Amino acid sequence: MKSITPEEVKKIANLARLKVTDQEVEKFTGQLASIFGYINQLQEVDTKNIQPIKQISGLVNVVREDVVNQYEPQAGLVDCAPEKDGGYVKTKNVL
Amino acid sequence: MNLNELTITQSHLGLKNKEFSATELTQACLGRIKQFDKILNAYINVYENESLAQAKKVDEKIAGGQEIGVLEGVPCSLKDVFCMEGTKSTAASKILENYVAPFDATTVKKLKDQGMVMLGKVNTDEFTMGASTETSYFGVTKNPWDIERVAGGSSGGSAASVAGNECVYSLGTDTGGSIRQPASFCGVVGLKVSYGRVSRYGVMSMASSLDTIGPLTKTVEDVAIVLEHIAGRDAYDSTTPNIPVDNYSELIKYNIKGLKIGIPKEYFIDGIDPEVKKITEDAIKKFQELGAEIVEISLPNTKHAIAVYYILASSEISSNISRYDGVRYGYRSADSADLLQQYLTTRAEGLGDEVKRRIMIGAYCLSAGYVDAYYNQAQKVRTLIKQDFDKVFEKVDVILTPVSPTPAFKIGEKNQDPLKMYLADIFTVSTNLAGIPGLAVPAGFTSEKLPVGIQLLGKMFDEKTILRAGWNFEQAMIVN
Repeated sequence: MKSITPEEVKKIANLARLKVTDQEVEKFTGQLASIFGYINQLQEVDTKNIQPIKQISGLVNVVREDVVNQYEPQAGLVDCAPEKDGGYVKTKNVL
Repeated sequence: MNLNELTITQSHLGLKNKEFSATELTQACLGRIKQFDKILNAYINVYENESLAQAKKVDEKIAGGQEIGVLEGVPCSLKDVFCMEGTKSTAASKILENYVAPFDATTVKKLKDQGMVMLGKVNTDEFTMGASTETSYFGVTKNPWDIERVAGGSSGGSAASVAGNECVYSLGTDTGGSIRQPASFCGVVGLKVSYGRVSRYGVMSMASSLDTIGPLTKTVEDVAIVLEHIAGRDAYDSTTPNIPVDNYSELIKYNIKGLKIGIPKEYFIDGIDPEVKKITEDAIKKFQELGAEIVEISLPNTKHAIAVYYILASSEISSNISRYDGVRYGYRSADSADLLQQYLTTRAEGLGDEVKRRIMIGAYCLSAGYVDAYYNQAQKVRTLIKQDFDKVFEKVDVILTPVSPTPAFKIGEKNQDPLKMYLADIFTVSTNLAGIPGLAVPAGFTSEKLPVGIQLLGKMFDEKTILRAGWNFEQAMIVN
């Protein structure tokens, strides 16, 4: 396992939609390198033939009747938006 | 005794017998908050008028000769990740500082139906990420036993508001120990339920395969009462199975003769504070006096739990926090050139360092080329950890461990080194990975008068057994 580099931190931050300053890149690189230095120990654990736990509830395919329900407090949802226009949430151009 | 120092059972009795009113009980708590919270900083937002209005309704019901439920008129606090309609629900983050929830979490609705009085929303680490409430955008919550020390986290506000008698009980969340550790640090009772026992709908998600909702209270009986009223299947949370809710508050009062209690050797390592070790050993002796059988057991994969937890939790966090993008709710950065810039700066300005760290750890663990080595490997080691518990529970009914290697640490002591803070979770994270329940009960005090709790872990959906063990222990400790 190679160590975390500043370039990787910049790349990951961009993927995660987090703008980072140069000082933050330096700080986070050190912290992440230390954290991954610890969690890399998991590579040594023998997990041949072990099934992963994807979720611990054991439930599968929990479904409900395919019936349309009107969600009542619709207006309240749009009210939460930082900018709105005529019942719609307003944001920057997507395309 | 001041009214705000009462338990749920005492409050209910007093209200029923008309010794005092719900309004007086609520005012006592509000008075305590006014007097003490500027030091404690447990509350983010207090709802004085609303809580008094709720109390008034209960008093009118009592005056009209109607029966009241056990939680009716009893003032509580809610960790600020619970959405309650009309209240600011901030997750202790700048990005939701002014977010007013337009709906109720299922657990909030259930308590409302029971006539709860909601005093206010209490502090937490930002988006529940932390073990000390130090990452909160609204400042740290102090420990009522020593205000230079942390209340613990992430449910620090919940634990401190209960321990400081600023409410009678609280609801918190536990993803890696976030109810049990602050309960232990503040000397209150806290329950991490089995995964799926209580609906998570309307409670802001941190790590969806690990998150649980639970009560923090002054007594084990109070925990049992709250649990009875919030547990159960919910159509809005598809991870809640259709398993009956036991009459916990009745079932706790049977004795524990013959109960088999396992003591895992991996939890009694060097590095535990000697006073924590002594208090835990004394607790084991107390359980023996109560008729329990003590069994030495082993949970060999304990040493991998922190690594597994931080890979899985961070990965799920990176996904869950992506919704905070300034589009539909919350903080939006001004004057962005385009949508991408709006995302980048909104999240950079609105989220704190610990949240950013975990998002990045998670994104890395899930990225192409690394997902197999990190995320998939962690899921497999999670299986090994769960298998350890399954094997052990064939021989014992309950497992007893310390909650934390130390009592409450000083503010600022661990928050400079993220890894140091993560390692403090060593005794609690396995429980979340295995999905099993865990009860933290006060077990004593250090020579510096700091509370220390012990933890009782049980089989999946066997809350009734750990609550019975906890209640018997608590009663035996009172007699002392």
